[in-house]
Amino acid sequence: MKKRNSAVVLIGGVIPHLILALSVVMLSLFILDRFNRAMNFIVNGITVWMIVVWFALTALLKIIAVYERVPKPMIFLGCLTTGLSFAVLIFIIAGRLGATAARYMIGALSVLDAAFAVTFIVWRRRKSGETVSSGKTDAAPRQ
Amino acid sequence: MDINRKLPVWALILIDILLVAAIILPFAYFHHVRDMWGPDDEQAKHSYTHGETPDVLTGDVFLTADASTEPSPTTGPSDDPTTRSAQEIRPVSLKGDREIRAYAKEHGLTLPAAVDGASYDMLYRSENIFTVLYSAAEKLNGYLAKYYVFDVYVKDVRNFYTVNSKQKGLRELVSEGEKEFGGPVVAAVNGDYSSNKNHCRVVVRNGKLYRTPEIIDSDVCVMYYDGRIETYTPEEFDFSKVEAQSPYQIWNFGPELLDKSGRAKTEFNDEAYDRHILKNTHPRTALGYYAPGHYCLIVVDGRQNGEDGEYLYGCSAISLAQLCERIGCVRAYNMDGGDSSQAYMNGEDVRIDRTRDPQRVLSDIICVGEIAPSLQRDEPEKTDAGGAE
Repeated sequence: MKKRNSAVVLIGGVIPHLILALSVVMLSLFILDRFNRAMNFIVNGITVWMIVVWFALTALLKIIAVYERVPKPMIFLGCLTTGLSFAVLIFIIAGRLGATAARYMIGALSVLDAAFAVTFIVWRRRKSGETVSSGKTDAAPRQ
Repeated sequence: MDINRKLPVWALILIDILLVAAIILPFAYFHHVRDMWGPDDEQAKHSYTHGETPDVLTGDVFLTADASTEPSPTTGPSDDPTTRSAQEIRPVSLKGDREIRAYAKEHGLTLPAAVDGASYDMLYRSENIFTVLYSAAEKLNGYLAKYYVFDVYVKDVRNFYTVNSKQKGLRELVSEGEKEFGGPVVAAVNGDYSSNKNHCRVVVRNGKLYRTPEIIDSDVCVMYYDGRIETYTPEEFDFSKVEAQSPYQIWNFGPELLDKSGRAKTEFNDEAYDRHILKNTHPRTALGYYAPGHYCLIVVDGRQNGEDGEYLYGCSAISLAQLCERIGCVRAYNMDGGDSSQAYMNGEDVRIDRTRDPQRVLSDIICVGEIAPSLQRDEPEKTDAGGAE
């Protein structure tokens, strides 16, 4: 149980930073795409794979967030990004990632996912601080 | 270990910045360096057979043995191969409006109906090619631009070829074309930036398939072996149907400038093209089509002062479309623009960016040029000596 919790703590510590970095990259690509559509910063094989990895990591973080019982506003934010992620995935599967709606969804998602990752990092820092000050050694989930 | 608890905030921010760099740099390499500027590793995957390619154009615009020696306003090209081989037909190359008009009058040639105020700059006439370059400076939708139009007639589509390479100057590509096709390049303009795989999804050059489309998200222009040019939106483009008709060239930049009835488009595909880039004034290049064997190459100068010192803005895609409609094209397609808009004729630069040296490198050009006899179409055996029809 302790080992499992350590893995969750480690993954939960690293993933938000990866999501944050990917969100910043996707936001940059979205802005560049606004300026020069012909360069296809969003509609290309590399970006599609980056989006898939980004969504997978975000989904994993949401599972961890639920597991660690984050506050309800964060759960709401997670649900919003999940819904948008599914919508973008449908555009990808349909081969319509170039659609204006899909591009704007990616722009919105990059902001929302970045917000979700930052909120999660801050929440964990606070939570860790609380557990340290209360004499607990690690943040074990309530079950 | 929870890094969010153990590390100070500045270290976490540093980690995030490094992570962004770790993602951006490989992306930049694969998207911008390898796909656009990398080594030429593409080999032709397939060659399209063309069967009996017809003379795409016959008429009195081409030089004949008679016309090369004395004025012959009404005769068409000689169909007697023995006459042609016996007399060397030397191409005519002229420069200057007055000389070109005088030559046309003397030989009964009808020059392309240039727009008002245009002057004929250069002319080239041989037994396979007739090209006139005319230019005009005028305000296009309120912005001064100078445009050059190459009005091109070719007897065989193979005189209208492309040179595909990787990031070379226009002159270098022209030299490559002359070496590969064994004859002088008469006129050349930039193409569709085919080395950029990010937007150029399908590449067919001189009847050879270099890039098979996995996805088509922008307008496509196809020149067939029979001399036709068709433009397609992504929804209209069916690669298998195009392949079945023997494509000779496929360009993928766009957008298409005219609708199917030859009228200038005012709205373009927003998903594939940036509205601002299309609406703003820039130097531009376009390919126009009148009929099989009759084409035009248009280059609009801009973003620099003209020869008289007045600033040239270039034009928007809508203005370019209107120009194509005005000069009578039935199909027209936008090629790469900006500093890539470069043009050449008979050993001279027609349009380059005079503010930069060296010029922007190109990956491909569209050429009108003489080709070696070995590359020309086999003459069909004639059973009777009929005249040109």
